[in-house]
Amino acid sequence: MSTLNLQTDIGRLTLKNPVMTASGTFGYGLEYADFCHLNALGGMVLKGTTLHPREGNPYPRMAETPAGMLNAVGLQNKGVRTLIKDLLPPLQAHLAAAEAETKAAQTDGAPAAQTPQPPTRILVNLSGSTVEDYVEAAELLDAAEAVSGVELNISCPNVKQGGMAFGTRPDTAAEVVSAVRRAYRGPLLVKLSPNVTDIAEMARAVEGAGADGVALINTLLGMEVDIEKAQPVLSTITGGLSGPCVRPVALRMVWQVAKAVKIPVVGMGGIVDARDAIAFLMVGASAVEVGTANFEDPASAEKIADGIAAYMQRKGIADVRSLIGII
Amino acid sequence: MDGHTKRADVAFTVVENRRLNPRFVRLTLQAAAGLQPAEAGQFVQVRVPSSLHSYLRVPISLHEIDAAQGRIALLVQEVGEGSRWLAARSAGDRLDVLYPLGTGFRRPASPSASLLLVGGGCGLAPLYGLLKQLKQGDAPHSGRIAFLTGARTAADLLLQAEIAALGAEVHACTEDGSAGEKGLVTVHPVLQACAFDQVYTCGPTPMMKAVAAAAQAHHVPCQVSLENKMACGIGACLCCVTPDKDRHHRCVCTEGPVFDADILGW
Repeated sequence: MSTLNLQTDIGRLTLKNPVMTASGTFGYGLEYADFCHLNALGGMVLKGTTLHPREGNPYPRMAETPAGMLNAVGLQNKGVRTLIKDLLPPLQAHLAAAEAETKAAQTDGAPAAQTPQPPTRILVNLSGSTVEDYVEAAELLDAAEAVSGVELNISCPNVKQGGMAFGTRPDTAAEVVSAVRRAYRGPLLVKLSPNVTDIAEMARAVEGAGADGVALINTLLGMEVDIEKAQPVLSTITGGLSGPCVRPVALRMVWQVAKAVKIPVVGMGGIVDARDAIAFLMVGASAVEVGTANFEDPASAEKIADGIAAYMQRKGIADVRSLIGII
Repeated sequence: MDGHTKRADVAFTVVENRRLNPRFVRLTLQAAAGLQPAEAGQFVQVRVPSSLHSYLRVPISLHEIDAAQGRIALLVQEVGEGSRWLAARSAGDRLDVLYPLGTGFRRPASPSASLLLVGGGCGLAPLYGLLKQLKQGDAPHSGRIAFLTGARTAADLLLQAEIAALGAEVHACTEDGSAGEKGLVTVHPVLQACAFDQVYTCGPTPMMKAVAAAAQAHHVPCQVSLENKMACGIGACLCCVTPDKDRHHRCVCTEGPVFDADILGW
């Protein structure tokens, strides 16, 4: 095989490859720069951001589980203004420098790729307590040229107000998506909660409200108990379960949603290697996000992108798009 | 992000596993090449196999650091499945280690400052590393260093001969009185008098709070090394936070694990 095409599209957003990093597991990107080539990623979804800074929930916020973890961070973040002013410019500069370095290395050796490569996309995961907060933050992101897209978080299980409260009923989900759609002109993904009876119904509701795509799954609501102290491990009692333990549930939901909507689907939930990622593509995901695996191996996402290319090479598949939705 | 030191996922080979007592082993690890320098109080994240109760890496303090020779040592306390697996490693085994993470102990302002180091349990690991760096650098510390260890019994006291060999005063407390003073470290005269310029402590949280309170009562600055549960170790997940006096959450894995006690609202 002479050349492999790993480019994929989430609607009008083209990625250089289908692998992104999931919000809440990759900080603001640069935390991982020592361990992973950030410009090898299709994109990264930055930490869940709100209009105003948040301190999040009290410690303890994490519990270990079989093949995964529970978290109850509660959207601790620096607020959308600090994100735009202080955190995006150094990330953008890092990506530009890394891309220039990669290009220089390519001209020394192998011929350059035949199609121009899109840059590593920066998406912001946006959360809020009220529709007004979502909209005001979305307006600020609309004006931020570093931001390639917004992943609307209506599915955080760890905050008292907003978050998952918006994302567990079709009417409230549609309301917040419609409002943000009017404020944000760029690619708008909506991240769905698995903590619902019918996730396909939720996906159809946000599709109808103007979403360009859906991303799923957010964490599954769970709980752990410390029997020595006879109390819950997490300060919030319940938290969000992630990691390899949720993968079959996530895969099933991505498959259901991909059959139910026409807009692109971004799949995530327990992906740790290329095999997992390819399974999500096959059930209909146009791209994937790698989350908890970043904690076990901070170079996971880059290795998964390489692994997808190796699989295509081995199977004689020229275009990664031909894997999407074949099941 | 600390930014100044480049961190890496380093492949180490175990060169020695020495059992110190029924609950502790010392693992000595060798990298293929020299390492970035690290400060005592910094830590590593060691990859362990996923188990029926756990998935994440195990965070462990650096115990000894010889960066030029590519060698580190870890003191492993067997508390969970991950640490039990680590304690069972033997020479020749490979370990994937994120190194070096976090912010370590700040050295005393003057090489003649008098220092008190107070450790309990696996908290001895980074304090021993600090003592070694203080005594073995290009400009060895000349001031008084007292090292106070708290343990349940005489058999649980670790590294006492090594601490003495580095030229520190050795003090101990045991809960059963089988060695040193009987009781918790707070009963020990050396801490009660607290005639020092700087206190460093690492161990169980109630012990560190008591040590910090004793230091504060004598207007002596105190650095504490926290052991909060964490997932990433590099400031991304924000699971490990501790509140400061203004109720802002500080990230233990990047801003700490070593903090000046007087900024904490713990």
